[in-house]
Amino acid sequence: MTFDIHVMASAFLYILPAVPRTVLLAAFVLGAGIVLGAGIAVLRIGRHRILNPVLAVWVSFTRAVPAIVQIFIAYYTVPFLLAPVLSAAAGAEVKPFDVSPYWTGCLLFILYHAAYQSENIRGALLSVPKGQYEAAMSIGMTPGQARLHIVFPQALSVVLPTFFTYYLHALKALALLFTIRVVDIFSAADIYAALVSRRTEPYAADALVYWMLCLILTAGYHRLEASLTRRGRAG
Amino acid sequence: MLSFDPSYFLAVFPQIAAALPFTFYVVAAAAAMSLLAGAAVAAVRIARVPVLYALCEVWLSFVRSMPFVLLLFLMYFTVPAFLRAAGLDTSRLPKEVYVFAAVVFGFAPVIGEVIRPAYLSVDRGQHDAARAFGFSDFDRIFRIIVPQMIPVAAPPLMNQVIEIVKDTSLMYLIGLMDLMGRANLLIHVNMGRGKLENYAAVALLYWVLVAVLEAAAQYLSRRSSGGFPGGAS
Repeated sequence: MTFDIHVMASAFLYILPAVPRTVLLAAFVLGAGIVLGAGIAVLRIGRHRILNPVLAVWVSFTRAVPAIVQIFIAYYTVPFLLAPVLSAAAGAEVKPFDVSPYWTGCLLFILYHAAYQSENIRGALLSVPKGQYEAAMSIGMTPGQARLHIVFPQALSVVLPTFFTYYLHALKALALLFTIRVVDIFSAADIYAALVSRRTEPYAADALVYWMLCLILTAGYHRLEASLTRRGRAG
Repeated sequence: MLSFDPSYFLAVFPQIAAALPFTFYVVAAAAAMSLLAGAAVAAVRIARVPVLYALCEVWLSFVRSMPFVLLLFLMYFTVPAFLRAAGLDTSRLPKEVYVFAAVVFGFAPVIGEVIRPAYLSVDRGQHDAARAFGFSDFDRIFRIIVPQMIPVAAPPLMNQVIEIVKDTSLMYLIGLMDLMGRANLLIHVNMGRGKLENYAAVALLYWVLVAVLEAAAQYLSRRSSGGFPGGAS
């Protein structure tokens, strides 16, 4: 079997419609993960006697176990947990096998990114010198005000630039959902490979799609960053 | 429907753990090869070798855009097609070779980016002093510079090894019998039952494995910082 450039071109066209879907799904799961992770980071800094160790164990598990293993575990548990909830919401019986793998994929990756982001954000919060908080208290701010107006903005400036790197990770991590039939940029190539029974060209086309997408996203991010820096200086 | 049988879990756990030596072998070999290739990439970039420097830049941008599963499939499906066209027989290669190829291809430029700043973090005066003492180029690099790079490079390198451990969990996709491969086989033998018990065993093994590596990384960075008189830290 030789390399057929026409197959690669048609695979490329087949994969393209999956790009916006994947870009949005990655943004959604990472965004939700960041919100949840921020909550967990604040809770863990609070050093609750029971919550802190429980969350620490969960974060350690999620960060240590390969995503593919977590996907399989989620695939065989989440539908059983969601089916009763969806049944109640829909008012009709929903069987576990009717629960779309998209639900499982979304829920899994939100929790996955939340674990990573909780550590990322916790590190940023801890990087703000304690004196900042104490100074805010000494001028009569309440603890809540000191956190909201003094500590959080400084932590945000540390953590914001890391989100783009994490976004690219989130985009790539979705590829593994092909194992549970969620169609992203990688799955599309895999499906096309099965459709035409050729495995050489579709993956090459897919590599091209990923590469171009990441180059475009990175260029866009750098432009945004440059304009924000300019505005920051002007203000 | 959702059930977990602890006795079945305990029964399959040692059977899946039996795949650990194979996982170790693949990870250790792949990591060693990636380290060598990464050192070569770092050398090319430090010496600013004309064409190769630009190639390494393109290589890095390419692999950074790809999920590992795609790199693995490119190595397993796409590259052999070109090798066959060139008249090379790839059918008798052991399958782990494709994993090695994917890991080296995917990690060498990234590891190069870990080694390069570590090299540059060593003060230039160390090179001058070594030359003044009449050290050969080889001795200067390996006896003076590399030991001072270790405190800077060891923790991020260990993180890359952890990434390799996690990414190679996908090798079951090309039919290798690692932890996931074993788990899937046991599920198959058990007629599709006991999935959760098997995957839980795999998860637990990975959790322990990565926790041990993380502890080792922390130990390394604590021990090596300040361990060398006049070292970088």
